[in-house]
Amino acid sequence: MHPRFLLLLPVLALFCGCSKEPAPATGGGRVTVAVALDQEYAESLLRGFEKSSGLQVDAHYDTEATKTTGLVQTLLAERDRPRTDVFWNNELSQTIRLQDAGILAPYAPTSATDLPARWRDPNGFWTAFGARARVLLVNTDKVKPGEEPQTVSDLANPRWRGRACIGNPLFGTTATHAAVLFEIMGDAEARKFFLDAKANGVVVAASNGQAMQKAANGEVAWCLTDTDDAAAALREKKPVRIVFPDQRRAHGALLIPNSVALVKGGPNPEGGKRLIEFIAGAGVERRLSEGPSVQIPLRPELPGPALLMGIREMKTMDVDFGAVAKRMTSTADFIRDQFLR
Amino acid sequence: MTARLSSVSKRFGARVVLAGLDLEAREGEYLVLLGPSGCGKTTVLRILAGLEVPDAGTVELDGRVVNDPAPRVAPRERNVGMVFQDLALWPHLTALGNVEFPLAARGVPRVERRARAAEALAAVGLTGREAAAPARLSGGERQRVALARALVTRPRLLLLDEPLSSVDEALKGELIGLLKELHRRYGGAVLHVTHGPAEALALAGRIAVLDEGRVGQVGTPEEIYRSPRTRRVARALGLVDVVPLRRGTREVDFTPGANGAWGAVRPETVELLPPGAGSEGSVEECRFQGDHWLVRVAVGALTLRVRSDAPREVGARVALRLREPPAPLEDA
Amino acid sequence: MRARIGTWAALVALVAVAVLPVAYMLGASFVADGRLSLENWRHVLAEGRQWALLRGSLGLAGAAAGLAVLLGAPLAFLLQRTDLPLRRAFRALYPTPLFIPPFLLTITWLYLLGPKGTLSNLIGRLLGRDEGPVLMQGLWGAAAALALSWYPIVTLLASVGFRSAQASEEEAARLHASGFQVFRRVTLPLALPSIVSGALFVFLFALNSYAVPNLLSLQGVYTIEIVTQGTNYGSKDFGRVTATAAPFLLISIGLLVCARRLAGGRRLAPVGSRGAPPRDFALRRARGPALVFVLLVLGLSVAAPVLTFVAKAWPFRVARQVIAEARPELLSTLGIAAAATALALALGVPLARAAASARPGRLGAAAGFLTFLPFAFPGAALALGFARVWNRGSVFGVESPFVAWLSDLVYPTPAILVLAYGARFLPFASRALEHAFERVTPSLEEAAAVAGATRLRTLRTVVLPLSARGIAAGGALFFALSVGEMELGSLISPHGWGVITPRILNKFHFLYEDWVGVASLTVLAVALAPVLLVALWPRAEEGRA
Repeated sequence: MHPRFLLLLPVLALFCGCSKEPAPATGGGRVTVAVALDQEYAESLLRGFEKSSGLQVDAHYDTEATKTTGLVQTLLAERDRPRTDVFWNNELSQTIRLQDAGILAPYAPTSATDLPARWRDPNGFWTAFGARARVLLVNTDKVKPGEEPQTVSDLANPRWRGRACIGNPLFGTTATHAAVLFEIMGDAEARKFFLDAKANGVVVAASNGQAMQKAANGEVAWCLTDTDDAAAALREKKPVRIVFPDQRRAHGALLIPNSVALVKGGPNPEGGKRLIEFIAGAGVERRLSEGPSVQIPLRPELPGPALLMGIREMKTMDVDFGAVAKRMTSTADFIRDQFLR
Repeated sequence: MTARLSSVSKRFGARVVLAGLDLEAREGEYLVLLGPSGCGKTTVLRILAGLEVPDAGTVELDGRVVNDPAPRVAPRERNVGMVFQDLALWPHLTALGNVEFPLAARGVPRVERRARAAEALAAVGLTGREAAAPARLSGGERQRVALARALVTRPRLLLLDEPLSSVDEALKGELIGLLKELHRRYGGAVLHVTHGPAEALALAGRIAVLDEGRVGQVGTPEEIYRSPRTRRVARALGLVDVVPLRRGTREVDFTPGANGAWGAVRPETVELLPPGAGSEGSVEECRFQGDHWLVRVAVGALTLRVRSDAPREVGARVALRLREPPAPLEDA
Repeated sequence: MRARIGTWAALVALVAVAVLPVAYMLGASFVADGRLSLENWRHVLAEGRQWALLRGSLGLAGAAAGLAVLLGAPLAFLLQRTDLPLRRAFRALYPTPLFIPPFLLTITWLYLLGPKGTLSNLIGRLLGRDEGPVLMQGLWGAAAALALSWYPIVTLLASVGFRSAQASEEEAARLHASGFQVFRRVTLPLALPSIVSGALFVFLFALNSYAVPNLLSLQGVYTIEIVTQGTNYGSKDFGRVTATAAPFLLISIGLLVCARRLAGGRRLAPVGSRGAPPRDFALRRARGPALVFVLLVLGLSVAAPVLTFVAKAWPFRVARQVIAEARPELLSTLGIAAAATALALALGVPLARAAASARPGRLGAAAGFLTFLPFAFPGAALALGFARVWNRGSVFGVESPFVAWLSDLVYPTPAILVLAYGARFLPFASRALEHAFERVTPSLEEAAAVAGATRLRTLRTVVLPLSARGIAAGGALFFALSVGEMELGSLISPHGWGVITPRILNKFHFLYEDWVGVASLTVLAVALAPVLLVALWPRAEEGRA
C-alpha cells in the first residue's frame, strides 16, 4: 500500500471518536432524542430546551425516505447498547410496540398530570400529547361546496371512484388508522371496507404528504391525510378545504397523538427525564398548536390551532391504543397481502 | 559474468516447460538459445533474471547460487540487463527517462545519470531523440531505446528476448549489426533467445537448441549446422532432409528396408547431375529462392531437396550425388 | 510476498467492514425466537408474497436494464465507432449522470412530468386539456429514472466491446458485405458480451434501489418491502426481514458473477506492439438523427436536472438562507464522503491490484468477488446490519470491554457512515481501479524490477503514474456516490452528523421547491467538482524525463 494512502487514513481516524455521544450513564451535559415529528417543527423547541436546561440535545430525526420505521428499527437494533435517551414519536402505536418489546423504561412526568388519564400510560411507559387528526382534504376546484365527502367510508363510495387517495396503510398514521378501523369495526367489516375501497380504485400514495400533494394538485378530488399535511397545503394557498370526517357517526374523527417515552438503558437517563418533563409539558403543546405543525392540544384548556377552524368542536374517537397496537401486525398482513396486491 | 542453470525444471500448471535443463553462458560469449515458440526459451531468461522461480535445480551467476534453498536474490540485485519481447518501454517516460530509470533506481546522481543515459542512447544511434515519448518513436527506435536501457548499467549479463521478432527484414540487418557492435563494445555475456535460425547463425558464438524442455545440443553454429545430433536440432537451423542410412555406413539408402540409422542432408551438400551420373530420380518441384533454386527430387522412396544455380523442369530426369556424407542422427 | 501481505490486509479489512454485516444479516435469517430455525424461511416462502415481490422487483429491474441498453448501447457505438461530430466532447460528458444521485433525477422528472409538472402542463395545454398526462409514475416511471441514472455503465462497457474488434476482422467482412451487415454480423456480436454485462450491472443496481421506487410510491418491490416489514415486525422478526431479502441476495450474487465474467478486462497493448484499430463507420445521412439522439440522451440525463433545479431556485432569493440552514448537513456530507473515499482507495487499491494482475489466482478472485458482495443487499437492510454488528458490548453473548470500546469508537461517530459508504460503493471504485491497473502490463513492472527498482519505487515511478488518472476517476466516482447516498444516511447517521440528502427529500415532500432547487444544485456541484479535476488531469503518455 502506498504511503500516500496511509496519510489519508488519519482523515478517517479523525472521525473516529468525533462523537457527540453523551457521557455514559453519569448525567453529564448531553441528552439524545429520536424524534419522529418533522425536523421543521421540533428543532426550535429542542433548541429552546437546550437554552433553558443547559443540556445539549442530539436529535435524530426520521426522514420521508424511511419514516418512523428508521427510528424504530434503529432503537431495536440498538437494544444491546442503547444510544438514545428519549423517543419522541408523532404517533402512539409504535411507541406501545416498543414498550411490548422491552425497549422502554417507565417514567411518568410530573408536567403531564394535567393531561386526561386516557393519554397517559397507566404504568408510566409513555405520555401522549399534541395530536394530529385524520381529516379529509378536498380539492375545491374538483368538488363543489356541499358535495364533499363526509366520512372515511367514502373511500368505498362509487361516487368517488378513482378520485380519492390515501397514504400507504403500511406506514405511519395511515397504518395506525387502518388498525383502528379493524379494532372498531371488527375484522370482517374492516376487510370488506378495504376491499371495497380497492375495488373503488382508491389511489395509494407513498405517504400522507404525497396524498396531500395529489389532492392539492388536483390529481385526485380528495384524500385522507393528517392535519399537519393539510395545513401545509393551506399555507401554500392550494385550492383545498379540510373536512372533519365521521362527525355524524358514532365514532368521530381519529386523533393520533404524539408520544414521548424514556428508552431503557440510555446513556443519560436523568437528562432524558428532564427532556420528557419539557416535551410533555403544556408549553410544548401550546407551541406545537401555534406553530406550523398545527398539533391539536390534548389539554382541554388550551385553544386549538387557528388554521384548523372548529377543531376543538370536532367529535373524536375514543380509542384503546394498546388494543390497536396489538392489531398492527395482522392489519399489516391483510393490507400487504390483499389490499395492496 | 557466467550464468549457469543446472537441472532446472519448471512447470506452469500441468504443462512442463523445462525438464532438468543444463545450460551455461560463459564470460563474454554470445550464446543464442534457439527453439520453436512455446519451448521454454523465454522461461529460461525469466529464471535468470529472477522473474520466475524454478521448481527444481540451481541457478548460478558468477558461481553464486541465486535461487532457493540459498537466499533468493531479487531481480534488482542481479545486475542483469533485459530486453523484453514487448520491449516494456514505460509510456509516461521519454526515451531519456526510460534509459535513466535503472541509474536512478541505483541512486546515481542526476548529472551523471543524464550523461550516461545520453551516452547509451548515442551508442545505439538515437542522439536527438532523447525527448521523444515511446509512442512517438518508430519500431526500430523503440528497439534501440530498449537496448540502451538494458545496457546503461553496464550489466555483466544481457538477456534478449526475441529482440528481432517484430522487425522487418531491412531493419533486422541493421539491428544485427548493432547487436554485434554493442557486444564487442560492452564485453559481457549475452543470452539471446530466438526462433529464427538466420539471426542465430549471424550472431552466435555458440548456439544452444532447446528440445522438449532440455538442451538438445550446444555448439558453434557450424557444429550445429553440419553435425546436428537429432532431427529437432537439425530442423532448428534451416532446411534439412532426414534420410535412412545403409546399415553400418553413412550412405543414403534410397530403397530403405530394415535399417536402424538416420542422417541429415542439407540441400547445399547435394549436387544435381545429368542422368546416369549418380542416384537417379525425377524433379517434382522447382522453386525460385532469389539467389538459387530449390529443387525437390524424388529418388526411389525418398525425396530430397537440392540447391541449384539453374532451374529444372518438373518431371525432368536427374541424378544426385552427395558432396559430403549425411550427418548421422542419434534419434531413430 | 509484500504485495500479497498488503492484499491480505485489505481483504481482512474488507471482510470486517463490509462482509460481516451481510453475513450477520444472512445468519439472522436462520434465527427465530432466539433459536436456530428455518421458520423465517418457511414463513416467507409459504406466504406467496415472495413470488409477487420477485415479479415486481425483477420487472422493475428488467425494465430499467432494457431502457438503459436502448440508451447506452447505441450511444457507445456512435461515440466509439462512427464519424459523429463532437464525439470527443460527448465522450467526456456521457458519464456525468453517474455522478447525479438517482433520487435527484427522479425529483427532476417529477417536477417536469409528474402531477402538475411543467412539461405535463405544457403538453396538456397543447392538447387543449385542463391537465396534461402524468408520465412520471409507476413502474415505467421508476424504470426510466433508473435507466437515465445508470445508462453510462452500459455505455462504458459497450465502448470497450465496440473497441475490441480488430481491423482485420471487419475488413475481412467488408470484402463481402455492406456496412450495416458488417455491423450486424461482426461488430455487434463482438460487443454483445460487454453490452450484456452492462445490462446486468444496471439490473443489479435497479434491483437494490429504494429511493426511486419510494419517490414514485411503487409497491411490490422488495426494497420497499424490507423497509415496511421493519415497521411491522419489530425486533423478534428481524430474521424475517433478512429472510425476505435473502433470495434477492442470491439473485444479485448470481448476476454479479455473470456480469463480471462477461465484462472481462482488456489490457491496453504496451508500446512496442502492433495492432491497427478498425475503421469508423460513416454515418452519412444518419448523422443528423444520430446527433439528435445523443443530444436527447445527454439532455434528458444531464441538462434536465441542472436546468430544472436552476428554474426552481430562481431567482435564488432563498439561496443564502438555504445554505446557512443546511450548512451543518452539507459539511457533514462533504467530510464523511471524503473520509469514505480515502478508506475506499486504501482498501480498493491493493484489492484491485490483486484482481487485475495477470495471474490473479484465488486471492485476486476472492478480492474481486467480496468487494461486490455488500452491493447485493439493499441499502436499508445493509444499514440495519451495520447497526447490529457495530453497536454491541458482547460477541456471541460474551461481554467484551474491547468490543464495547470499539463500538463506542465507531458506532456513534461519523466512522459508522464512513464504513457503511465504503462497503456500499466500493464495487464502483473497485471496477474503475481494476481498469486503471489493467493498463499497467506485467512486463512494465518486471522491467522496472530488472532495472533495479525496489517494489516501492516501481509502485511510485511506474504503476502509480500510469494508473493515477484511473485511480482519481475511481475516487471521484466513489465521492459522488457517497455525496448522493440516502438510505444509509437516513438510518444510521450518528447523532449530530446528519447528511443532506434526507433533508432534501423532506423538503420536496413539503413542497419547498426553491429550497430543493438550491440544495440540489449545491449537491450536484459538490459531487461533480472532483470529476472536473480528473478531466483536467494530464494523461500519462505525454511523457516525461
